[in-house]
Amino acid sequence: MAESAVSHSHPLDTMLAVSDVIRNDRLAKLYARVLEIDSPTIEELSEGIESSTTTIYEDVKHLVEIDLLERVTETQPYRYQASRVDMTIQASGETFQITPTLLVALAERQSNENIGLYIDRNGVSGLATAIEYARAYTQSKMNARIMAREQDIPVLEAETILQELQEIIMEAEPDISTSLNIEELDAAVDEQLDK
Amino acid sequence: MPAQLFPSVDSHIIDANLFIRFERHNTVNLLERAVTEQNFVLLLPTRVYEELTPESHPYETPPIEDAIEAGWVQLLEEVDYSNPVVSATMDLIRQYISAATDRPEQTIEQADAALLKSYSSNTLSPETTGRWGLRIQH
Repeated sequence: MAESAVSHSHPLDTMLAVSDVIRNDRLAKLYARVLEIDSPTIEELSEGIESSTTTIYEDVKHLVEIDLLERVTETQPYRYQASRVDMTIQASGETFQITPTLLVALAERQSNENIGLYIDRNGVSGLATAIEYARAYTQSKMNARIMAREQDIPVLEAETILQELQEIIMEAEPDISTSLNIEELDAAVDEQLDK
Repeated sequence: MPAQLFPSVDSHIIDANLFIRFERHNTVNLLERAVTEQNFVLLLPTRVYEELTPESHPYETPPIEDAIEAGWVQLLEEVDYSNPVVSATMDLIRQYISAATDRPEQTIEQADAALLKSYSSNTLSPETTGRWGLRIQH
């Protein structure tokens, strides 16, 4: 079962659209770039991307068709915005969340050696799991040692990917709370220890 | 790098994340310059050193050996676990991390507890021992 948050799409359509982007680096990069520069035109998009303008046009058209991009202006040059993908997949008792952060991280696999290596060693699913740890890490609720032990990877590998993903999360999820209230945490811990 | 980037404390004990962060951006030389300009020595617990220098690793490992050789990083000796104060402190710390992260105590790495123990035994005043020191005194 999948829940979709892309506007007005059937969850299955969303799932297929997201799989398309996960499997196609060029589409992932384009989606990430639209997310990064906020409502760009095709011309603005082409400045940071190696593909020809024709390819970018075709890719943007495809991403609009599958609802991952949305055209936000009525007149030319058109501007585009990225849809906030938020999909939860449940299968065999496991829950798996697909967010823009995953797509941005995938888009960086070739330009970022640490992310590329992590995907080679742990797969896309490993990266998605690492994003969940990294989100907690960004919120000061996780550290590399706990992740290393639970995922059976070296601490150096865990800390490296947590830091890489933290930078992506701060960009892709600007509303994330990064400050930890020590007093609150103390009170919660004391309460738990008193039980 | 301005001096206020470094907290005003008696000792500068570092965790694995510091070196990894500078290494990722190829800026360990900036860290070295800042530390040596301030005449600091960064203290590295043995367990953290081991984490930063795994035997086989696909990633580039941070240049810890060079830093130790150059003298701006110093290895801290393993804490003495047979000392009852040390073991009691580490138990408290593991208990805290366990409760704070909602995980069983035995899954909390010793390095986290060792790091904080090094911190509390290498700093002198109650202000700098921070909350760990205060909890330990209770």
